[in-house]
Amino acid sequence: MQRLPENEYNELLSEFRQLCLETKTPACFGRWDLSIKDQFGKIVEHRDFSSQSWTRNYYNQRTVEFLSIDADDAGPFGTGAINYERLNGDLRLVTISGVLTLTEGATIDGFGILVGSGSKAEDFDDPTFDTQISHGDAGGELYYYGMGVDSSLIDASWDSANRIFTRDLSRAFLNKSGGNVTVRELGIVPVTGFANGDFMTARDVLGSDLVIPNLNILIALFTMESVVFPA
Amino acid sequence: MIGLEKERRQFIKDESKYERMSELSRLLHIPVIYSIWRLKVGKDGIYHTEREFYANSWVRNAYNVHADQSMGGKILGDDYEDGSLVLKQLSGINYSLGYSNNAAAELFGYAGSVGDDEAGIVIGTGTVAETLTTFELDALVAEGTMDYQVCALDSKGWNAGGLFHWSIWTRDIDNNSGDTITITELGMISNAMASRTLLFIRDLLASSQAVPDNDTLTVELELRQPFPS
Repeated sequence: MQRLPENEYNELLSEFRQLCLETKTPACFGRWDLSIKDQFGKIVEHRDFSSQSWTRNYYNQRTVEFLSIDADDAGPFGTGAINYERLNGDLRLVTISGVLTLTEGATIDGFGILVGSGSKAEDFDDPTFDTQISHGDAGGELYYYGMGVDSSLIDASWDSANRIFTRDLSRAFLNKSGGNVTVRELGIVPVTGFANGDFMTARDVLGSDLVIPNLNILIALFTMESVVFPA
Repeated sequence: MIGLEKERRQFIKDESKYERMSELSRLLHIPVIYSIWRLKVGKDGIYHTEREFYANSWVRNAYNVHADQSMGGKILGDDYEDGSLVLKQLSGINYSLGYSNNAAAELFGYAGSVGDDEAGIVIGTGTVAETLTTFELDALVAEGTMDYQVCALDSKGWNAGGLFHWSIWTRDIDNNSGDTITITELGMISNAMASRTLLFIRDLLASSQAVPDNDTLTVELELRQPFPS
């Protein structure tokens, strides 16, 4: 899958939003905002870019909800099938809960905003990390803070002038490993409420390494935005 | 009101717009769902009228379900209005505990049983303009005035050429009233949450559709979701 350059993406997104408004069609898209803060709270690096990679898991969930058809294909996970693939690559036929809770507690590295260090290309049909970074303070690990408790703005908000909803979700990752930790992958894994229901719905690969020095903290902010609601 | 030939030309014009939206959806990896209404009027499988046009009016319930589910299940607001993700049932009662169509979507979803005019495809004679905040038809043709047959999933599949998943829901509605009934509006009601039925789509017809006495109106809604290639 080829990522579009930001300016091209934004130009096409503008046209897409206008068509959604004209046809009265709902849709949502996301953006990432990454900041690294040093131990004094100073931002030492900042990146802001579009998320371009809702995966087949998210699409399939939309299909079940709005086309009103059951997830019923045995597999494989891919074109023409309505099923879900777990973080570990296993196929699972259970449907994702209608409500995708996107908050998760501290130390939990199986749901919510997750990060990885691999550089496997973004692939619509591959909702797995190349190399996920685990919670912890050993070499190559990051301390996962909670979402919705100490680091997340949990309410959606309405922009009445532009007639859009946005929702900010964030998670902080502290490097206590004693060395640098490099982040290259970002993922969204909603809490589905099902056992073994860890389905990644979006995965983005960074254009270049994001190095988090020891005792620095990464704040990953994922902002979802609706298309314009018709007047 | 416009004629059927003009409606046909409008369909072709709309088609290019929906195809462009689908193309952008694939390029940007942002899912959208759109739908097409088809109407047939006749008797015993012989139709004297067939029409086809895009449904152009997901209502606030559908917008709110999509936003709420995608954004992480944080319903906010108190009423069915701007700035709120609350849903509004056919009964007029608000609902704010979240929506899910994941359990037996084909059995419930857009399904409606015989005689049920509060689930699945419904028709009406009202003319109030389409608005986002609609939660019911303007003037429902109630069961008894016409006879609602089962609303069910007719077919589903993957269109490899068009790169979209599709489902088709269909319903026969018989006119045994003794007189012609003129239809002006169509709706699709989600029955996914059983007692909490929610209108998702309402469309006004570009030109009214007469259903003569003893004829059947067959209404079909095809829903499509483009996927990246």
